[in-house]
Amino acid sequence: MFFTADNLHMDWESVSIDFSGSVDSGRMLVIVGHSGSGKSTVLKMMAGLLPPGKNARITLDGTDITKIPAGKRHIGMVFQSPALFSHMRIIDNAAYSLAAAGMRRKERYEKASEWLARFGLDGFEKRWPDSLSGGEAQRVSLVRTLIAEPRLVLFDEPFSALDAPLRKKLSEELRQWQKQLGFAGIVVTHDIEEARALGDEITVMKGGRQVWSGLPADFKESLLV
Amino acid sequence: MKQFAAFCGTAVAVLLVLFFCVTAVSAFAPAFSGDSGTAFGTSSSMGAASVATGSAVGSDESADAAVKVAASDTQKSDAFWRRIDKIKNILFFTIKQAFFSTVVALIIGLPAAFFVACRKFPGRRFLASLSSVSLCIPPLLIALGYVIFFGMNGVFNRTVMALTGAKEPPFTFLYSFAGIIIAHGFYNFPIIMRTVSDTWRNLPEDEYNAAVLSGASKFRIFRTVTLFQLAPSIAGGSVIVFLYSFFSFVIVLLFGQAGGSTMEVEVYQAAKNTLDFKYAGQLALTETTAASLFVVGYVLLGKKGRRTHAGVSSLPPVRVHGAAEYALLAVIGGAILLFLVLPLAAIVFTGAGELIKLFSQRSFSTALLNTVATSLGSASLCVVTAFFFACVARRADPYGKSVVFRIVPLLPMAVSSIVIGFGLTNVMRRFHIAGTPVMLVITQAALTWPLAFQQVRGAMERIPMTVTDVASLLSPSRLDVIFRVQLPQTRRALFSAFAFCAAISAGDSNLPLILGIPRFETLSLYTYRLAGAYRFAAACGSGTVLIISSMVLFAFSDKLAGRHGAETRMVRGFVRSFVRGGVRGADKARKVWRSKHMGR
Repeated sequence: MFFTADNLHMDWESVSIDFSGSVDSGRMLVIVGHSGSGKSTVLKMMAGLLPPGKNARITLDGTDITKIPAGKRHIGMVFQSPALFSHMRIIDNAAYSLAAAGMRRKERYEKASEWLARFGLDGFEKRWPDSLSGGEAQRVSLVRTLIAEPRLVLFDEPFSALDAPLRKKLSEELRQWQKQLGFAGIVVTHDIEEARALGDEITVMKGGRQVWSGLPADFKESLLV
Repeated sequence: MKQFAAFCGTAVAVLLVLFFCVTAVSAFAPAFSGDSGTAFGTSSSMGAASVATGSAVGSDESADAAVKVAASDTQKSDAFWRRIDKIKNILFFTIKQAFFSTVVALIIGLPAAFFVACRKFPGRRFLASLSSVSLCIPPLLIALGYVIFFGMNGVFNRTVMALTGAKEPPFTFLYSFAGIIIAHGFYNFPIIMRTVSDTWRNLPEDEYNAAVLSGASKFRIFRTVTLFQLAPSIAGGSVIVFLYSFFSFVIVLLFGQAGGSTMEVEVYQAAKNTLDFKYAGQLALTETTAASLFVVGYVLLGKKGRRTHAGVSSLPPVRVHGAAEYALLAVIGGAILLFLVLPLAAIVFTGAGELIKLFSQRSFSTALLNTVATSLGSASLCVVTAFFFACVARRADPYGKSVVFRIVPLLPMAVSSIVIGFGLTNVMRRFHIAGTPVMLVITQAALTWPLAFQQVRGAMERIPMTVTDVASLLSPSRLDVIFRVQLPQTRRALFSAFAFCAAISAGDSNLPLILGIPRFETLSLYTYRLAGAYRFAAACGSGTVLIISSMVLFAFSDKLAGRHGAETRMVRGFVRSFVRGGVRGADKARKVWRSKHMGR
């Protein structure tokens, strides 16, 4: 498996969260569950933003990354809110990871402009985050994540703040981009339709534990009840 | 009855604003009159004309007289430029000390804010509790604490001399520029700490995590993301500290040396000691203009400030880790202990033994009763008028967009208590009346009014519009809504503001000092006089009573204000007012730009 996360564990408020899962290169794993089921916490443990527990072991392409800091894991993450840096123009938001990697301004702006254009955001370079619609902001957030060419991308309910038609449109686009770019992805959602549309595999979480894993075709709504 | 009460409340609020305006104007008026002191700039052209006339007639006498007049004019002109130079130097020193005081407050306040907001360590709660010091403890007591602790014969010097065997006190920084900025910086750093830590604690977790996952180092994240998110709070807090230091009186009066006086002290000296009212008026006008320019300049510069998103979730504090963090915490903690906590503790330790003796003295008991009476009076006046003005503001400007309702109540912030006191003494002089306790109550109410108004308006704004609308539909009159809905829903804020204003009035020594009310002393003035007579132990005893009463009032105010204390709301209210100005400007500019370039 390209990415594995075994024995993740955390006691969070009154819930004990346990998770083991994996995803292959170019595939998408969807974690479905209600609010408070621990799915976002699992994602943060995978990303290295939260400690994964004593016996946890996380590997990426055969390398143990359990103790590697979040910024050096080559894992990207898209959050529920676009989390754009409100004091930076769109071009600087998009190029943030390139600047952190030490790329020269001219080169990173060229690369960021290309990526923005690829995501239908050409002409947005000089604009400020608060001038964007919800969908546009989430696209910029996606560009900011993908421009660093991460090997795994984690999506924490990325479209839940958007209206239904836009959510459907962006879900379809996300599948296309994944096919084009070939990254592995793990999506957290509570939306059943979104889970079916995005997932190659689905895992259901309830009360901090995995209660079912399988293919989208076998997934039933009753599993969530 | 209700109508009468509402009318009276609103009328008194208007009268209070008018009173404030009149006293402010009467403080500036002597600057334009030949009231006293050197009357300059009156007749240089007349002198020149006389010289010309004298030459024309050829009379020796008239020529001599003309030469004398010309010489006199030259002297007056020289005096004029000397005075301009003097005011310029005082203004420069005032700005310089306020600037460096703000720098000291930032150097201590920013790391303290980081530790309070983001780290867990023993003593965190104590450090956070210091945030009320700047508003709760009067500056007079900070000055007294510094004298007791860092003075030539102070606790610190005596301890060091005993330990090292030195014959001369090793630390003599107190009566110098360094003494002023250290006292100001450590007295005011809690404002920076509180405003910045509040923002830091609530920064959105997602933006930070996005930066972490982009591979940026901690320092890079701080430099490129966190610092920008904190910038409005840092700037807002800095402006408040700058203004507090700019208007500082007692600390500079006690620690300032020759050539080291501020505008505020000079106004006092000119009004009370040299009786040069024209000069005092010029200083008051210059000081108020400069302070207003700083605020306006900040708001204009603030156009570059960008709005930070309110965090849906924020990073929880973690334990202090790494040698650098431990070292920084030790340095900051040690400095706060040495320059703030120990001087205040020295007052209490020195004064504790004097308390019984003080309470047996009639003059102390009278001063205490006077303090209770004036502080309760000014707080009552303040809160009642603030409430009715807030009701009017809420009705006339429900969405807080009117400049009048937003700026006018804050006007007293731009004028110092010494300037207002000087204005009032001018009025009293003109009408040949002596100062009375009632005047003190009214003036203190006018000055603490913005604090009460900010808090009451905040509480009023938290009442949902739908609630007020429903009440309006169900009530027979507007007054019914005020008394049955708005008053009960804001009562905690009203009590909190009352306690807060009472504490501020009780600790104020500036107004009682400049008004010089005959045979009337408040506790702070009593403490000041004892310290001035070098009766430091008694002054500390009196100061201890003042500290305890202020702290009790603040604790009461804080508890009533709920989770976020009264002083937090005050500081936040001011920061928000300043920041809003900047962000609004930015929004407007951006909209114009957008409509031009993007057709949106």
